Amino acid sequence: MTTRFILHGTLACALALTSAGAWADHTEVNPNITEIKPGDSVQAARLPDNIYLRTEDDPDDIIWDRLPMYRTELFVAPPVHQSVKLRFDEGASRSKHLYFQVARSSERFHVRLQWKDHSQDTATTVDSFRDGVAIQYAIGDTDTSYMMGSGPDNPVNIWYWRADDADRVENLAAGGYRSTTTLDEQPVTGIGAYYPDAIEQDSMWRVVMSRPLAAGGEYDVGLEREQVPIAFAVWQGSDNERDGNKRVTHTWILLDTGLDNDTGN
Amino acid sequence: MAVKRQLSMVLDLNKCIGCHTCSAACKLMWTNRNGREFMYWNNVETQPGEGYPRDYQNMGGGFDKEGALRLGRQPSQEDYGIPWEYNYQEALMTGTDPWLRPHVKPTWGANWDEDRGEGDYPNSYYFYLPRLCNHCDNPACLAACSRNAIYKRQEDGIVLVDQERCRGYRYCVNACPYKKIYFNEQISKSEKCIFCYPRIEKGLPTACAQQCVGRIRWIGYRDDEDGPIHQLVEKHKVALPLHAEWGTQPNVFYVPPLSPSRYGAEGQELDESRIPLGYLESLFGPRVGEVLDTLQAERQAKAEGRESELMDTLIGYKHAEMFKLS
Repeated sequence: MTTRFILHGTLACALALTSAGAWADHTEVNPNITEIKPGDSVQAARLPDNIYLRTEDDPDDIIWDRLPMYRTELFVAPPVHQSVKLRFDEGASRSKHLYFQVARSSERFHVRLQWKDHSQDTATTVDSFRDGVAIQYAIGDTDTSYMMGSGPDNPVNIWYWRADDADRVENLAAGGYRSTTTLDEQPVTGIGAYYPDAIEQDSMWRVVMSRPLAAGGEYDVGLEREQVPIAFAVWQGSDNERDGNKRVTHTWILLDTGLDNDTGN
Repeated sequence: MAVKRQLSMVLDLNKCIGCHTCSAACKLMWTNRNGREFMYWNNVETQPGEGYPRDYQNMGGGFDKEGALRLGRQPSQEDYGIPWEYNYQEALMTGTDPWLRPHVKPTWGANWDEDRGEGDYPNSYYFYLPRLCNHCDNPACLAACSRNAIYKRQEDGIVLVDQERCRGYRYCVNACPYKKIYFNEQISKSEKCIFCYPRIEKGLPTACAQQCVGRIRWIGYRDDEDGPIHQLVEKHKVALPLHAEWGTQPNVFYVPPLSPSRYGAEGQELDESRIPLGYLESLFGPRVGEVLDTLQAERQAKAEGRESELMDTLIGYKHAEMFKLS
């Protein structure tokens, strides 16, 4: 695992140096953060059983300072519907960095997501759109399309957090475009908070989402397996982003759950 | 879009007195609560005028000549008007407030420009244009929805939003050139005129049509050759869609308004109508002149004591004949 970290860190630095201009915010190069490309794998950190989290989804819990942080770049999702294409806005074509951390205890699986956002868009009104973030999991293998799954037989499970209802996470499933559906069971919890900064551009959203490891329903991702394909999406309310109008990970990131080698500590 | 049957409405603008009873009926029935306060599924606007929402005719949407969706401008809350309430209780009942006043300063609302119109005395003019969802054959809202949440019923062609599927993306609000679909902030979903389908299913006309004191509205199926819609739209060809060039193929039709003649500088009557033909054509298309001639001729026939099937229909003697729902 250590080797992999170093390797990725070096790669990220090298790439950042050679193509700095193309990065979302290249000034953020931080040696303590591992750059993740689509197709790479990340390790879920193991929370020892003797650690007790006072609040499951506290976005500011001190435990997160002790867990490895990854960064990946989100690019504009290709429009797959004419409405999205019509509203394809120049400003939204820039990529964006998303910082993420993954951890699990013997019972629960946690993800913390962070991204910079100069405006806190928490209202869904006639005149405004909200910020949001989502994690997508392939219920099956990596042959599932990272773009909302490939049909009803190859679906994805989506955990969607929205800034207008910041203490809740929607548990959704989809099997192709247009098919996103709210699931009957809502086992995913989460909390998001906005951290304003004196430099507006450095203001940040932090969102933690978690769920018991054991999958409840047919469309709840099974986390009790060695490897889970995951992907991310971010919506910027200030860019009128909603629906397929978003920034996403292009292709799966592979999450090693570490369950094959779990000693319980 | 092919449906088995299509319900349709015809409105005779010559008979509309701008009393807003239709809007009040609709509002009481559907939109005076739960985040819909700003919505007028049915509104009556003065034309020429800004309309509701403000300037909707220049917001875009609909389809271009090739049949592709056109980008529209999203109306703002201000364009609809921010609904206000009065302090009736405090001012009139308890007397704790000496003034009867709205709780927000009204700056715009549906029909804000009611008595503005166009032109200078003695040639000033305006007329009333009641509007509801057109339940189009080719609905732009439906085409724009990226979730298949909007559908058109097979049995009567009514266009509805599936509230289970809708996730409030508002592409439909943008795409409808008539701006007859609204975003409800309270539930984060879009809503629209439902053509009073719970009433229709019981054989009753829509609330706006039932309550219309001017009896300007007819309801029926397009394919019913004995019904009023077929008579007015197909047989006598006097009812026209609003802005057909927007490409949505509306199923609400209007009998365009006749008007007295213009006056010349010396006070003499000129041989042109007060409401300029070109203006009416910009709303209802190139056939307006022909329709107005027909109306004039049939009116004359009735005035001379001759038979006129068209005028008998337009007079609307009996509700039973105006609404044919089977």
